[in-house]
Amino acid sequence: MDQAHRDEQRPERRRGRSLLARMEERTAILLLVPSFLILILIAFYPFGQVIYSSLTSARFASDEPTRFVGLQNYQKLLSITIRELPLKRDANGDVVLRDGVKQYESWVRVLPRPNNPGRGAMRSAILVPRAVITAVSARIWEWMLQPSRAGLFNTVFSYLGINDGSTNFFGDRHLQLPSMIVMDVWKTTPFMALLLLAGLATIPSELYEAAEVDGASKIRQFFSVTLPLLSPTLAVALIFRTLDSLRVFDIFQIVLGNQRFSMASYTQYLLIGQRELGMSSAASVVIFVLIFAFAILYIRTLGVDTE
Amino acid sequence: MTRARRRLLGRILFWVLVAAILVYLLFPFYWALNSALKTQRELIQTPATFWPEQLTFQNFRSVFANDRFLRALLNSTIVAVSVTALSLVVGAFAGYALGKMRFRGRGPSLYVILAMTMFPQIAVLAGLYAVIRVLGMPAIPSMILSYMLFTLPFTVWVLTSFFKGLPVTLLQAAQVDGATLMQSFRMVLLPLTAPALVTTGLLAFIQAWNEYLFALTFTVVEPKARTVPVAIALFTGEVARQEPFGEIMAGAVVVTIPLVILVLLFQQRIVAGLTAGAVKG
Repeated sequence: MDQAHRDEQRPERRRGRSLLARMEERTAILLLVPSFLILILIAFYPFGQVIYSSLTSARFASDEPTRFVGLQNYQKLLSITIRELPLKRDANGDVVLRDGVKQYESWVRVLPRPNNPGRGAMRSAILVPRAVITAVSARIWEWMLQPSRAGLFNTVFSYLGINDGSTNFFGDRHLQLPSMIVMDVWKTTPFMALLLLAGLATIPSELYEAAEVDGASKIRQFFSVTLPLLSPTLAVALIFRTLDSLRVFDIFQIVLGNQRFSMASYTQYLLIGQRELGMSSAASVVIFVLIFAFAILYIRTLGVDTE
Repeated sequence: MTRARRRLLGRILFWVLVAAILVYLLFPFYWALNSALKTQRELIQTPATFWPEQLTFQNFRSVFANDRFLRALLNSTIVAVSVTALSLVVGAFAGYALGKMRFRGRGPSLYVILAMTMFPQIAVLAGLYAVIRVLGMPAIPSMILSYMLFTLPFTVWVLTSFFKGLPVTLLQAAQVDGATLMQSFRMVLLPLTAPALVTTGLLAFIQAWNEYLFALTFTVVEPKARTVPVAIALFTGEVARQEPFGEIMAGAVVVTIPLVILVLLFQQRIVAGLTAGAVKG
């Protein structure tokens, strides 16, 4: 009788449990619907549209019928790139990175020591560039880099006898990219510093004590303990910055306008300035592919797990 | 050199380094303030002066009398607040589902969200612009909706890991007491999430306040809807002469101070949020 009773109950209990699991599943999907609807509307669908238009001759406000042109837009982009921007864009992104990270690295060493009296103030100060709107910082730097001695840099440089106080930082082709790099590095210092600070915090202090006991100098400690243990964080920081600097837009568009383009500001110029929907879409796809390659690298380096 | 002397030298060098970094970080902001407080004549005088010889608030007065600038402040506030609220609500739902529930497709969903945190805005610019033109959507709602592209995935990602970290026993206790999944979410989990909500909300707000690419593109045909970054970038004075850098700098100071205060107040939280997921262990 007992056995029969149990047999009767078991399927029911199982059904009950799966009912609960099914309810959970349904709730979960309901909760996810808004997020995915929004992403479909603003990311997946427009991106599909971009890929499609990149293969057409679409233009805004044009009577010409839109034709399917295959890879012609990409070809045009490639020839413009070869003619106008001989791989400088890539080199630029790279320079921002290397210089930047080197700088941050040396500064950040100052921060993490516990009981460092200036630390609180430093922490606060380091966040200031982060809080400034990029467009605003572009205008401030534009003002500081004025081509006459009304600008800070020309004033200081002429006092120091470096130039005659009339260097045209944004007009001179050789100084345009260095100026952009200085601006971008200033703006992104906080993020890098904080990232590396978080990495430094994970290095156990016993390692430094052990190194001290072994008689290693501070410099030796830096190269034998800090640097190797910080390298995963450095890698992440490097990739973050690459993704970011590959899509640099604000400072180029605001300060250099149509004088010189970054990949993103050229894409936007094609769309709004030239109404070339097809060409602009092709440029978007190229940037996306580049960034996607770096993103994969990022996920690999971090070893992101979803569990 | 004796040991004590070397230590002293080390400390001096250390403080020199600290001072140099502080100057580097803060000087551009000082220069904006310095320029904003100068008279027009002193502003264009060469060589530039390192502090205003004649203090004037004229630039600030003109900025606050500038309708376009005030309008931009209002627009930015509307956009940033809406984006923050919307991404927190929608993001908390998704974070709860991904962090605390079991269902098929959870892994892929997480991957999609993570991939989206790195999705470049520029990749969808042309597509979004075309969609908005076809729908005839006004610029402000367009901005609010499209900014979710970079605020939502990040919010979902951070909140998911936060929800995952909350003990399951809390949920189980609520369920034993007869709470439904949504009740336990609202009454048990949500209050505990407050710190994570503040962090992600602040970062979403800053990002939305900062955004320039979409704002510039979507307001091309609707100058009334310009937000602060666009207004600052396209700033022109009342009179058409050379670029009014005095007023631009005053505007720069005005829009930066609230954010600096916000960032300094919530320093710790922002630091935690920015580096979330960047370092293992």
